[in-house]
Amino acid sequence: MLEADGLRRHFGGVKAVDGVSFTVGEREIVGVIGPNGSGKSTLVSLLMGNNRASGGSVRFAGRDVTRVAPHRRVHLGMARTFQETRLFGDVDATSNVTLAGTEAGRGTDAGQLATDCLAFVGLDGIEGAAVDDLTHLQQRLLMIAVALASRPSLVLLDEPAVGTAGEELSRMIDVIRRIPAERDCSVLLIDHNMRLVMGVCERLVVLDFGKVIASGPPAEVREDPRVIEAYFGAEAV
Amino acid sequence: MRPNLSLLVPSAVLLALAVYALTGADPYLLSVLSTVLIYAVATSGLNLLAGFGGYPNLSQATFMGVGAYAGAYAVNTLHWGFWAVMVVGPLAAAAVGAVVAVPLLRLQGQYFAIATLLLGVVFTTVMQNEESLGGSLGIGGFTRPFTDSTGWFLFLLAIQAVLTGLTAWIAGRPLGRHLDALRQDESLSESIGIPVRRRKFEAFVLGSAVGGLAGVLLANNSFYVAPDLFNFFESFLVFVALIVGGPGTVAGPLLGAAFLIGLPEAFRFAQEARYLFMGVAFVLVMGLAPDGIVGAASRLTQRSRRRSPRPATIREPSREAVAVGPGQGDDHA
Ligand SMILES: Nc1ncnc2c1ncn2[C@@H]1O[C@H](COP(=O)(O)OP(=O)(O)O)[C@@H](O)[C@H]1O
Ligand SMILES: [Mg+2]
Repeated sequence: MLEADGLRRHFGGVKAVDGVSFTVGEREIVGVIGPNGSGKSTLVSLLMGNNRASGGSVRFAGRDVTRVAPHRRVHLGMARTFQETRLFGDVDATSNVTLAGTEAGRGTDAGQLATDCLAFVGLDGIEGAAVDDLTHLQQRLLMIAVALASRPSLVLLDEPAVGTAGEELSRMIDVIRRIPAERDCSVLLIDHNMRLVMGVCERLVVLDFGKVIASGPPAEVREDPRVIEAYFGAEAV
Repeated sequence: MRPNLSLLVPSAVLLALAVYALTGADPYLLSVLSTVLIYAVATSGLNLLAGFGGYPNLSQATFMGVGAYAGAYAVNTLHWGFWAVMVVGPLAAAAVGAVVAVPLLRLQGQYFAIATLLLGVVFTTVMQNEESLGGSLGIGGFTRPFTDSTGWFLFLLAIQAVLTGLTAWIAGRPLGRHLDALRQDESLSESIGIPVRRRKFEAFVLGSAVGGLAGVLLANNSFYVAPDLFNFFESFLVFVALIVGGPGTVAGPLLGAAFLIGLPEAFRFAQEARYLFMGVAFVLVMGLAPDGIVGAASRLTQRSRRRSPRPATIREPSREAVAVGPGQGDDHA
């Protein structure tokens, strides 16, 4: 489905992403974890094309998309959410989803898609609400509904659960876990919340200073001494 | 759905102007109104990228200048007639727009604003030194078929009517929808499949062409052009007109142009100080109507239409709906 090969992105002297390779299979949920500043968000922007790679390549659905514009990647079946809350603030919640459905809904009626995606994330009932009137969790869920409205076959979620805990986090975990089966869609899940990634992902990729330092099933990665030092060690401090 | 795309108000205004012109208008007022219409054309062009797209474009007078001077060249050197000039002006402005759009549209916010402003400085400097086109004194030679002021006014009115309809049409097309989206968030827009770069380019080039049309009209209105008519201060004023009238609305350019041209006329007695009055009026309008005259008007009419501004219960029931599960959120209706 997705193949990143030696992806690099430098900002001046900072090697934000430094030769990252991994794959995401069909209907798989792969997690990318790593400390703050390890290059996770930059990686998402490279995969989506919002940021231009300094080197390496991205293949999606058997096609080299490294030089393909982001909006075209959407039409090929990729979608993303942002770490920061990004929504269209001048229109209501439903219109946010309809807008995405209109662009890349692949023939499905945009209104139908919007209803469907809002229901999927559990936001049926907010229809005409202004984005500013939503709670933080509702905004984060709405972002996922917007991403799913283009009927992607791969969605990149950049810290979707940021700022949520307890019951709200459970709700978010439930939505993400249902994506592959119910939306026929792979997930690349960026987060540094252990409860989230451990509970949801089949495979993990661990980044540190822009490099992959470990990858594999969550249980294995958790035991890796380099990961304990770079990630859990850093978090324990 | 944006409430400010109605054709009702601008159609009524344009119709009233037509009736006024046909029923023996005051010649002085008619000439002022002609200028209003020409600047409404310029502002309509600016409305695409700056209004719908939210880009602070401070070069609209420059493109008026490109159109006007292309017309001057066509008239004086090539001896072309009015209709050919009407075509060549917008085309020249579109061509220049297409070339400068590529580097300019890499910029955003204040950097875009400054770069477009500098474009105007470059243009006026070049024209001041281009002796074959009159240098800083300017150049004439324009002739037009609409020799009486009523006919000319109706011609301008027809052009603005077409542009008003075009604006309403574009607003409902992908171009308008995409500009509206990218104004709110460019990264999010491209991430839901919107061709952001292409839309900005189209808006800039189309807006420049309409600016060029306004320039040709201005040249034929006064039979004369000079570099100072198109300096960066003029670009700034056209931008102010859009902001005052209502960016991203159908009626905004016409109302804004009336403000831009009408107010200095009203404060003519104050001579140079009239820009001071304009500044004060601008601050007043922006204080009362931060989204322009059209925005304020539509907010007033909406308030009277729906009694309660917003269901106050939305936050709480929705929170429950999220916690409990789907299908529970409609109990607050
Ligand atoms: N646009 C940018 N310009 C300069 N440096 C950047 C930019 N974006 C990210 N960086 C740097 O790249 C590194 C990785 O950032 P990021 O991808 O946001 O990490 P993460 O998402 O893992 O916290 C950081 O050192 C950050 O400062
Ligand atoms: Mg990040």
